[in-house]
Amino acid sequence: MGTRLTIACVSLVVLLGLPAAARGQQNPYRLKDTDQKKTCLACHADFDEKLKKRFVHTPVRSGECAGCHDPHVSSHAKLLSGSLRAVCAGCHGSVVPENAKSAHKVVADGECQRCHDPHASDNRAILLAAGDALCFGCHKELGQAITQARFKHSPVQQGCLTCHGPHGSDASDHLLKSGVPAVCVTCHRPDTPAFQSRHMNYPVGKANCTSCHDPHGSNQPALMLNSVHAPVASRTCNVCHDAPTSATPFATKQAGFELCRGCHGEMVTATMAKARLHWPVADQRGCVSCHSPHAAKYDKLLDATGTNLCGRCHADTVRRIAATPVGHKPVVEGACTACHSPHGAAGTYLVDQPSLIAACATCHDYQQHSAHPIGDEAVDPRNKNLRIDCLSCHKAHGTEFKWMLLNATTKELCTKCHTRFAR
Amino acid sequence: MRAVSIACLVAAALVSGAPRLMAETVRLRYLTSVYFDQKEAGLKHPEGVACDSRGRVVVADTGNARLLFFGFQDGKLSGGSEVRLPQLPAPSRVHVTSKGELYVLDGRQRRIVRLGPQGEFASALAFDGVPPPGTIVPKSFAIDAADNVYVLDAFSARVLVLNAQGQFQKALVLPADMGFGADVTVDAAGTVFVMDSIRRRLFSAGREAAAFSQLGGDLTGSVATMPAYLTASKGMLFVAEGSGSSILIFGRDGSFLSRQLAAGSEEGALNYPSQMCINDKDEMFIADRDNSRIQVFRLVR
Repeated sequence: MGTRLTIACVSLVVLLGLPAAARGQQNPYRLKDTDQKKTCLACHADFDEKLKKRFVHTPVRSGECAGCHDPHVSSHAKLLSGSLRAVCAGCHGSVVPENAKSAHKVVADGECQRCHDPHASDNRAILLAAGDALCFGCHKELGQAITQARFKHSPVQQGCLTCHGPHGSDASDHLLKSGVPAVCVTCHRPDTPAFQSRHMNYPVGKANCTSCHDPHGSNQPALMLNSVHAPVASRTCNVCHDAPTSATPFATKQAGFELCRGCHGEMVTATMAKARLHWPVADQRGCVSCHSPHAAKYDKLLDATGTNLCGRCHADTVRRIAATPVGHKPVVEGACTACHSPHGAAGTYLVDQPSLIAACATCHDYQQHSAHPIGDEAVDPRNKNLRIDCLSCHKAHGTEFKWMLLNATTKELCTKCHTRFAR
Repeated sequence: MRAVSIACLVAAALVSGAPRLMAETVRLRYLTSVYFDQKEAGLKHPEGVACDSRGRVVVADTGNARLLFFGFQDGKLSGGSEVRLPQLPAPSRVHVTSKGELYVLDGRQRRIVRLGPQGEFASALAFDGVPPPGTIVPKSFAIDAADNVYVLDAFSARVLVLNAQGQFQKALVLPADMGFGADVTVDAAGTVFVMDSIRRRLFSAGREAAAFSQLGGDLTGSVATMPAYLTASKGMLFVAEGSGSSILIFGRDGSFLSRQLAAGSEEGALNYPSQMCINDKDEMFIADRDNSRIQVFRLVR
């Protein structure tokens, strides 16, 4: 009897309490007016215009401002209840596929607002701009290249989202909906005689199309990349590769720089005669460590330039340079080869000049710079084996001090050697 | 009861912390430097240095295209006689065998030359019996206690093992995802170590191993700039950071132990340290390339 009474009482309390709890969820801040939107818009009157837009974010439309914002206090901008990434992921956590092979950087960085208006927009998916204009807001260079290309690729004209996903891809890099060549062969069928003939009967249907072609458009026929390797241009693939009918049609006839020596013998011999090698030249990959063997976007068959290229291996140097307040102009501009020889050199640091002073003198006239003695006769008082040169006072990649000096003040710098003047 | 607990805690701390403490106390104490040969001619960008248990120190004085022979006793370097050979226009690394012979890597001709104990030319390493490819570009090399030679071949990304007579023994292929094999060394037990300077990793292969396996993890957190030279000794691995101008010490398992020395021109500081050598008396010789000198330190535990 007692047990039944207890159960009945508990059930009654629960039943009575449910509507109250539901009311609490609907009005978590116990607003006088339970319509949250109305309360917020009482002050944020400018939102009226926003709400007239064609596409309104669902929580905004339903007046759940507190779904994203904390009405009282927050550690985040715009009184958001968490970081932007966390707030958006609360509902849209799965925009980047699990095990994604690539993710859009802005998405990975949680900067959803770079593409979407969090409240409302006249564009589908509350995007800030419609179509490719949104993409080209950041990818300016690419947008310009696509517009100016003499030969257009029709899927590109239909829009970036023809091939790319906006958030991430579990199929390929570069946000591609399917990888290369899968995305290409949906239109360009490799089993047709015309396709095979154009590719010298090499079975390129499974190769990387973008090693020769620019999928976004080009000024070269057949959407070839701007800089084309002579044997590719002359369709003599077998200069480097085995015959197309062989068991290994893509195998190269020789490895590393030995393959390139066949045509570029003089350059290879001169490089190998240098006292110091840039080691990628001589390693297993050889010349293709930096140069594309078929075609490339940049001159000299380089598939990247400046710090984008050199930074693949010298990432720590590139990072330091980026963090250096006073940088050397060619360094800041990514012109590493202004001072360093990319293949090999007689001197240390791949500087192919008789001395560091000679290297600096290719741009700077020392006689108009300072009267301080430098060169073979100017012995460094700190070490008799060293001579005073430009790097006795300056640092080649830059420092935090003016003129890329090694010290903050002239006194500090000079008294390193002129110790008797130090106080 | 409380005293017992404290005693137990202290004992546990000592037992668990003892090996770590020992490893962490390894540091380099500066002893001396050498700047000149016996005729007072200065060194120029020396990249190589070798030492042995008899107190002999051989310097590859790269910028002057010569070898220098010193003796090291009681904390002092003496001598400094010079050997110049047409076969060595750019000596860059040097090792001494158990018989006192020298192996020297020439940076310009990219070959390894064998010399007699006094520096007289004997032969160039012929790589007899090495499987294709025929092109071999030695990046570095090491010699073990039995005088076997381990050549790091950049061209084919492998370590070629030759016996004391120069005959091919085996090839250890570098891991496929190796960024760049910058240096090779071998310890007293015959374990071969290679260093990936781009992806900042260490690999080892035991005496009988057929392949390399990674030691520890990615060293990016402890290696600030591109590591260039590697030496194994006293159960540790010593890594010279080129532009970082420091010596990093790792355990044989790849665990980071400490960073020693710093960039500078004053004695005890480094400017692009290159080859290192540690003798049986815990004395460490470093080719301090851009300070154009050899510096000597004592390993202090």
